[in-house]
Amino acid sequence: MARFKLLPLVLSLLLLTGCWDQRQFKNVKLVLAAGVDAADEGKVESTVVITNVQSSSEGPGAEQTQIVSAAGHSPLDTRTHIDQKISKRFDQSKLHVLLLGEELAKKDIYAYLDMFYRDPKSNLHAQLAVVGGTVKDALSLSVSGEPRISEYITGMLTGERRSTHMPNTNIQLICSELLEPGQDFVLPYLTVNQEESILEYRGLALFSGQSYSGSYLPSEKAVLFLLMKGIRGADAQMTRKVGGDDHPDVNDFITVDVKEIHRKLSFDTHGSLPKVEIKLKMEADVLEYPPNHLQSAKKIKELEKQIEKDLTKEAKEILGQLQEVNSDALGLGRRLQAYHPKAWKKLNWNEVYADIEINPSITFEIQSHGITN
Amino acid sequence: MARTENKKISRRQFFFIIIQTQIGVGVLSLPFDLHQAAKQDGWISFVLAGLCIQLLIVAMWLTARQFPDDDLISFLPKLFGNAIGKLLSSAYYLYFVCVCVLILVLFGRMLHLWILPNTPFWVLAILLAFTCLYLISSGLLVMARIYTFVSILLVIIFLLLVSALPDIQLVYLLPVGQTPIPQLVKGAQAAVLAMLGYISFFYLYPHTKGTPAERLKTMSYANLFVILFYLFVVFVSFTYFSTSEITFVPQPVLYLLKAIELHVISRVDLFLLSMWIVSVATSFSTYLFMASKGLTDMFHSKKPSRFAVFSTTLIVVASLIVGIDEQPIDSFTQFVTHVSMVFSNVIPLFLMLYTVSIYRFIRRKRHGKV
Repeated sequence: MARFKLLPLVLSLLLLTGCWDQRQFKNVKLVLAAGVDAADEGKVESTVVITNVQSSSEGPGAEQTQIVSAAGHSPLDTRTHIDQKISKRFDQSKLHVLLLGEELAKKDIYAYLDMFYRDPKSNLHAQLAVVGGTVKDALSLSVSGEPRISEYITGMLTGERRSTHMPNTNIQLICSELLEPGQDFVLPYLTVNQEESILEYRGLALFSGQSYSGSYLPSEKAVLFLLMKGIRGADAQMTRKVGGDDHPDVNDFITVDVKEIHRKLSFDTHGSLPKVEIKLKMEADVLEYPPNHLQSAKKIKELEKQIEKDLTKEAKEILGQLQEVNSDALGLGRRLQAYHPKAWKKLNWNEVYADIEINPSITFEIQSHGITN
Repeated sequence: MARTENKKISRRQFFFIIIQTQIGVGVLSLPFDLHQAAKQDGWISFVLAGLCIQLLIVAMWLTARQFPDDDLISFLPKLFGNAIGKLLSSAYYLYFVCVCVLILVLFGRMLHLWILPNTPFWVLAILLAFTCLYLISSGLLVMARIYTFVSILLVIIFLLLVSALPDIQLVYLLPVGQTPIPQLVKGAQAAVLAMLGYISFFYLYPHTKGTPAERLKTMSYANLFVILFYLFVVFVSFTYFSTSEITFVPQPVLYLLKAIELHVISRVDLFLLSMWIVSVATSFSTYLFMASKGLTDMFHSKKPSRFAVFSTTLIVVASLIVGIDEQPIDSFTQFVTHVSMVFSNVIPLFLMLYTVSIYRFIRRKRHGKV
């Protein structure tokens, strides 16, 4: 009898291992960074960076990277062609970075992301970025001190996110804004610097609907833009000119770190077109101001006024650029729909967005000035 | 008397059995179903459905307290006489089998889609069904203990969802109240399907300690818990996905966790899926228990395990016939939804009306004569 009691135990050992759905590391080539470019005749060209680990008898194995690209009709078609050039097959389920070529991003990018949304194995928290020039050039860079291009790019983007130069984005997070009417999004815009063999963060690529509008918000303006969007990273540093004449000098500049933001959006829907008012209140610390004298309340008031004026002007420029390329990256349309559904229904937001009146008003407050006056 | 009292489950265990039965296979797709029917106002539908179920619970309680020692299968003959009672009991047996089959195929389909595309469905079906058979053959008390124990997983599911909160956009819930009433009702119907399982009240009531009022209170707390838990799930899914995006994702709860990376776990969705399997298993077990207990009682048998094995085999075979292709599952879901409306809502209401009016009258008359 005891023998029979053991039987189920042995059987479960044999049967419960599950032999069907194994995906073994030895059978695939891991891809950590990939990108797509537009190619001739409406085709796409994918580039993948494959990390090979050479096993050695002692210590960790040496890493070698292999960069392969191929053209095809769709992203998955290129995959077939890439597989034909490498040993084994590649696997994107650990992807960290996905780059989109500038020319390709100007088309409907959903088509190129569809395979990621559809596949249960894909890694949706891979970072996305638009590359000025071609992805192939960007991924082929060998950056000194950075053996893995994927780590280089994610590290760079994480840094920019912490310093409030870009919002938190990944393949999944942009999907909501990609599909939702009345809401557009931004992606980091990188360019290739061949001379120094590095990538450079340039600013935020503005998307209109599902495609790149072709213009990007320079990184100096990105901070204010994100603060207007209500996003703040670990710190939000801005350097602005206060006082001085036409010959700027280091003493004319102040650097502040915005600590707190309060944003209020209001819509006036009485007219034929809605009017938007963006009220943004900031509280900041002074990090750098060589002329000193920050103990006087009068001086602080003066500085605050000046910065307010400056920032309001800049906010107007940002909004002007957004409207010009028809990118509702602040999601004003979705908010209008949320709070004034009747007004929203009457409008064709895509057509009127460029013409509506948006008034930013910024109040700026200095709350501390470091350990010196 | 003391021995039967010992075999009864405590009210806390009763609470956990109810919530584990109600929270099951539907939790992953509920937000999608609600959104299909009622757009961003789906949560209103859900609250509506929760309130209706609360009323049903009171109705079931009014019936059940007339029969302090009988569960559904044994009080049906007392209410309607042997012939009709047996007929109704058999119908209920088939209904429970159908729900089991539905749970099994939805479970198989989900695993097939998300993690095990190559594993044949019969393996998954047998693994789940026979594990649950093992669980129910130990009796209600053991089941209750297991259910209480695994409820810790609900806390973990809750915490995982909390990690998605930084990325939500509350504006996706607005504007409120734009959905016409008929669609809200349709949404409520979808919600009821996800919360099915309250019918187990009829089976658990006689086996639970406490006064009738205490038991009703526990049941209502359980229902409230389920409503709040689901509401949180719906809230996170609705605000994480935009209004137009959610129509693309049939399993929003898994999908939103797929995009989150924790320090230790890279694919949170797979982690959630393994905990969800436990929730599915508990719902399945309760239905299997009700089915096989009903069958045993109908034949006045002393050998419940035979009927349990028979029911499990029947369910596995039926689920293999339905299969896990999209079309048959959809029609089968439709079918079970309609049947559930009758067996979980209409009949319990009718039973209540019948019990409090005609049956009380008949019994009084009968007692009067004796």
